[in-house]
Amino acid sequence: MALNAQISRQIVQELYEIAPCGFLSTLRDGTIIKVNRTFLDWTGYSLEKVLSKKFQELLSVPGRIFYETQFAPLLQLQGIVKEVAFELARSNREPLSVLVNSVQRQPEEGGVVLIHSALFDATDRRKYEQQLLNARRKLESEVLDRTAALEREIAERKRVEEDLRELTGRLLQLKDEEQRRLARELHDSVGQLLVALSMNQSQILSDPQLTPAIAKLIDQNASFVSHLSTEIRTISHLLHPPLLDEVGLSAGLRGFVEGFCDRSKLAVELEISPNLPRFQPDLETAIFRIVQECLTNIYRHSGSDRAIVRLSTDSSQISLEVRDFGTGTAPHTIQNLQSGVGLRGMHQRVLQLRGSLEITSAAPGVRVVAIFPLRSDEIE
Amino acid sequence: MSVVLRNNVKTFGSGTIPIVFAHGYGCDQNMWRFVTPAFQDKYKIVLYDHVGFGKSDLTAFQPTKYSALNGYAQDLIEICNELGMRRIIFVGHSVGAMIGVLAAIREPDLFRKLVLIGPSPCYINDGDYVGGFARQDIDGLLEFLDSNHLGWSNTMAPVIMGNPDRPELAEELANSFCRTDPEIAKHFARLTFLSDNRADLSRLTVPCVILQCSQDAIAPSSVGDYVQRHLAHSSLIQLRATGHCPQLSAPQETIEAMMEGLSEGLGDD
Repeated sequence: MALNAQISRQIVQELYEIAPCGFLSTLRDGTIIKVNRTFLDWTGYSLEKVLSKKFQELLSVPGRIFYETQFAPLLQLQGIVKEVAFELARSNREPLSVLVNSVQRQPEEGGVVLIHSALFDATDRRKYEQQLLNARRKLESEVLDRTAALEREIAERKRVEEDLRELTGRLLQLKDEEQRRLARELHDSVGQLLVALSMNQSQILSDPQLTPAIAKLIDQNASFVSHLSTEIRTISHLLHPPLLDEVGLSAGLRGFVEGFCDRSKLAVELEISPNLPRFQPDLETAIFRIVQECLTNIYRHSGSDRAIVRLSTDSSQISLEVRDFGTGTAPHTIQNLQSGVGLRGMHQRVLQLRGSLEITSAAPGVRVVAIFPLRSDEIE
Repeated sequence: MSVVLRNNVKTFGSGTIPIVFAHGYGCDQNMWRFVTPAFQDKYKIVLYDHVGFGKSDLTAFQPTKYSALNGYAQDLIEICNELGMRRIIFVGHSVGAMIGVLAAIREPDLFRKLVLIGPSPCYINDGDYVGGFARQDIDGLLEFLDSNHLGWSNTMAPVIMGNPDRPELAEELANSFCRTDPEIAKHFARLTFLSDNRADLSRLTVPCVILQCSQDAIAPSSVGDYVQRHLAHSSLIQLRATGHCPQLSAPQETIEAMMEGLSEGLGDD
């Protein structure tokens, strides 16, 4: 059916007045010059009341700041602004949530700049958005809380780890001191007593009234005492190398390796950089103990008949390398070793001195490399 | 990072005396579009965006540096130094005006004259001082920004697609407001509206002219009068234009007032 002129006018009129959105036209400064009936129904204002106001005066204070600083400038610059969420004050002061779309046309020559706005009731939408916003804020605050808690936990763990490392270091140090004390005791008191015992034996043996049976027993005792003496020296030596404190790492290692070769029949090549300086006692002890531990492991587990020990240093670090030529391969061997007390102790000694320990397959055999950083005050 | 890229500095015009324009809260250098043509024959025009706005480098935004307006003042000083400019005319709008005042207190030799459009040293009412807002209004603004970023986070600019009246604006503006990171926008809103630079005003030695709008809800006349009373070498020009952005709503009147303000006491170099 063709629309006649009257129906067309009716549509335009009704569409403007009772459309399901508010229409509002203003001058460039916001002064309201025309609104539709929907707008009046929603806000509760009379037409006269509305026409004495500016659009921005109907907004909440935050909305008004936004209008002046962003909405109006955007409209001037680009001629259109869409979907801005404002709150309008109704005549009863209750807020009305709206979404506003506005256009501003360049006027014809001599015409007036007009701003036309369509306002959509966004009450329900605003409720959902508010819930969404609250959920987002809650989530953000939970993430912040959880992050802070995790950071505290990590800091606490680091502190505990540090404590543990200090404790381990202290234990190792105490163990070294205790072993040194035991070694000295064995050497100084038991050793001296054995010497005295041995001298007495000689005197008794020189007594002419001795019966042959007694003399034989005394002779046997002399051999026990000599055996005991050797045992005690070995134990004392293992507890603490007597040369380490007096003559330093280099000579201490040479003495130990020499004795080890004799006892084990293992051929050990020892390469030490010439003019190796003296280091702090704990560092020298650690290196000595690691060599000791490695050679004992090689003797017991590797099946190798030879080993190489290299110790070198420059101004910034000491590096120690011990390798064998046995049947062990690093991953397998390491797994075995890692369950053992020996390697763990070795690792702790290295960590304690801020160094690093690496165990790799050398095909054949296994290579252990320990690196210790050097500070100038660690060289004596 | 070059200062020019960081602050999206644009220069044009055929004069020698530099005139640097600083935008205020909520916009970028596009704010000056209607007034700069009137000055480009006689001056060297310098436009820039504060870090976090327009086409500035968002990665340059450091919360610590920009935790006070002095961080933005530092950028203005760096722009002058980078471009080798001294004795500039500075035109600042809204909080951009206060940024210029702070920079001119620190480096007075860089400035010849300041034009302050709608300046406010403090937006919050405090005893006898009427700044125009209560503290809770500003909290409300931050809420408002949150709800709008949620509702139309990407909408402000895409709307320009096919703007029949000003097609030339389309691309430029599409990258303007919508590029403001919501967190940076809130940071700048908080910084702008909670700042209190009243005590700094008396330290300014560079001459100023204040352009005061009629019925400006953001910087009311009482604030303009306060600024004029506390700046040693200042005059105030009252505009008929209403609102907070006369350079957009009444560009011709703004241009005339700026020219009037600049005609006095510029001196020669």
